[in-house]
Amino acid sequence: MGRKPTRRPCPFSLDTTAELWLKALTMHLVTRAGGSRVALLTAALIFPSLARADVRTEPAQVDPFAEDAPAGDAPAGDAPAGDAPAGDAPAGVNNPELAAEAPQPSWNYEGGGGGGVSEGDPRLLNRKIRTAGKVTLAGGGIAVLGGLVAISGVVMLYAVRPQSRLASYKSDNGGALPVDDDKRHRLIGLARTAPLLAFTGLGVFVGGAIIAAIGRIRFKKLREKRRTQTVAFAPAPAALGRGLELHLEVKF
Amino acid sequence: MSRRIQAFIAVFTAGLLGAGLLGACIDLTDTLDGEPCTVEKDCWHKQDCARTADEELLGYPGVCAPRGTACVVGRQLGCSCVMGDPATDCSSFALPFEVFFETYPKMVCDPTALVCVTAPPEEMP
Repeated sequence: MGRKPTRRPCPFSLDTTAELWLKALTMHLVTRAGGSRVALLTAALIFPSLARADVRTEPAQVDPFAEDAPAGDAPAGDAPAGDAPAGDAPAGVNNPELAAEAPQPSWNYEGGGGGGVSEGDPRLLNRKIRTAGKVTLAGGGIAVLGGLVAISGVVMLYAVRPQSRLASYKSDNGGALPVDDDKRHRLIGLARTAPLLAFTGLGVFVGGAIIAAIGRIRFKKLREKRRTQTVAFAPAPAALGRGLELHLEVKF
Repeated sequence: MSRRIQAFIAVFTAGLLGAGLLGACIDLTDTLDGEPCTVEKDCWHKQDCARTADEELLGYPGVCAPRGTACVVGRQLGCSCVMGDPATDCSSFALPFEVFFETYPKMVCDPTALVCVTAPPEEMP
């Protein structure tokens, strides 16, 4: 079924009283001699615009015969029950009952983040992430180094076995260790140094592992924060020494 | 690699390292106790090289003894002794007998000074 064009009232017509008054004023100014003629002519030319604005602020007259008239103005018996909007129904909902039955999915942020806007400069966050990554790598390196030292100390002890070597050296020497002997000193020094080395390495390993764990937790937390943050563009003018520039700020 | 396998490897490595470190606790105090010495490096760090001035003068070695021990009472030349006590009357010496029984001098406890001194040469029959 074809749609009948709606007849809209003209906001300003030549038949209005203001227009007639304006015509008379213009004719008077054109025939009048004097220096202020131009100024008055300008004011007269501006006046229609003001009058038009006044006309447009008035409520538009609605054509009661139009087919697409609002349902609220139509008689209650003519309007279909399904298309009548409810009193507090949201905009764009034709059938509130069906709309109420529609599933309402909960909003889930990807990655379990909060979806919030970052507090500060994204470059600062990136710098923190890089620092956390460096701390993780450094801690891992320290842990690996400590582990190697500890393992080398243990291996040194178990490979050389200074206690049994001293016992065999004693029996080889007739039942007593030789005095001021380099081999004896070396074995005694090894027996004393290797456990120190092993336990020091263990301490370094534990310290490095803790540093790496803390750095990793922080790194993952910051990375997740960056991933789940809203991206926002905030244009802001910034006055410089010469002129004005448009400053675009991107927040991650 | 799953998390469970990673955790198992970590626990296994830590346990192995801990067991190795526990086994790495070496104490040579008993091994070096009574061993001859001339310098402190000959003994364990918990011991001293107990060597008297007489032994040093005559060129005999001292013995590794617990820290703070100047000499072994009644068993080292120039050290104090107790008359009548067979363990401390200088009848035996602190150094290993099987090595030094020929070289270490025989000692007696001096009744006046109560110090182990070299025994007088035995009279020939």
